[in-house]
Amino acid sequence: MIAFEHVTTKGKGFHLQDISFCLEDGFIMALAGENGAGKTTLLKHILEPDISYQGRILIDNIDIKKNRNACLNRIALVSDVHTMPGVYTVYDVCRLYQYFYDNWSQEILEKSFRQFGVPGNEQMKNLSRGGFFRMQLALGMAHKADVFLMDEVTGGMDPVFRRELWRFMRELAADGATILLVTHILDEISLKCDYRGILKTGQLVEWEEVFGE
Amino acid sequence: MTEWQKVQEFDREIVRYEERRESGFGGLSMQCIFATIFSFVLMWIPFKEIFRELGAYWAAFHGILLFLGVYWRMRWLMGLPGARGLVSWKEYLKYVPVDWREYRRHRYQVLFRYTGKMFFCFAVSQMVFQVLSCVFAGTAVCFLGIAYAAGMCFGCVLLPGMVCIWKYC
Repeated sequence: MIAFEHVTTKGKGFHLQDISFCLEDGFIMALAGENGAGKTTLLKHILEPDISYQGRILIDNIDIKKNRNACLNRIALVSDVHTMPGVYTVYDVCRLYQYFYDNWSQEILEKSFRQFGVPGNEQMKNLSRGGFFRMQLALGMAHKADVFLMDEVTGGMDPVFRRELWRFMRELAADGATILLVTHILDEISLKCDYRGILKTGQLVEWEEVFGE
Repeated sequence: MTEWQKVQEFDREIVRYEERRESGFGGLSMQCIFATIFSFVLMWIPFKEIFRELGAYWAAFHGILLFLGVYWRMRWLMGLPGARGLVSWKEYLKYVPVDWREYRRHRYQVLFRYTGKMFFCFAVSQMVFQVLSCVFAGTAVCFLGIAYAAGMCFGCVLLPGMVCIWKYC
């Protein structure tokens, strides 16, 4: 479960203004909006420790300000912005990060790599964008995340990848995971998501169910 | 596993990996040690100016290599080369469940734990350098003499420090 309760950014610069919503387990929510509307900023509020805000962000009813590590243990980020060492192989990165997660499972990682076709011995700098997304998904599976944050993962990807990804996301949601997807693709929002939120200049101007459209 | 243990495990893993990847630099350090010894041997051959000059060049060259090694290691202390140049540890640990300050604390703790040993090595090597300077006083000739002195300085003073930083930090 992921919940925003009156989240407003403090300080100068780009602001989120009074964002409130609650996404229960087992649902997929799409977040859309113009470029610069605050979609990625919203994800950053969840993940980055340096951003100061009023209100509360809850992951499985845990306030992220109070227990950030417990929350990050439950979160998987899938994004094309990453800082993993380019010369490390996929396995090296997994070996490095596994110590931080309480529920890490090497078996699930291996299984996910096989399932997604992740080349474990490939260097990070040589991974394609799709390969990198797959790897992050596998990482999320390995540490048994139940909140998946996906930043523009379907944009610019081929139809086969997108179909596979959606099938996988549906499976995840059926298993009780919560998925927050930032996307620009309107078809996906209306056809494949359970909820949609529209952001405009840092405000959530629309938030509704899209069942059965 | 506590936060602190997680950080230490991460550190152990990354150090192991980095040492494997940069074994070229490890080899370079060893090469510098032997080269410095060799240059000393050359210095002690009497009445053969050419050996003395060769030794000076040799020591100066490896002194520069050592300097690069120290620079590389200090850079590593700050972060690792990533997708966009040097990426700090803070960036690497931003989205994983650990406070990156813990890791920074750990790295500096490792650094300071060995400061005593490093200081000892510096002090001893400095004394050796002084003694050898006296022994060789008057033998330095023009540029080669300066290069020799610089090489001795790098070799005797920076070398142990470099080895300590390399080994322990």
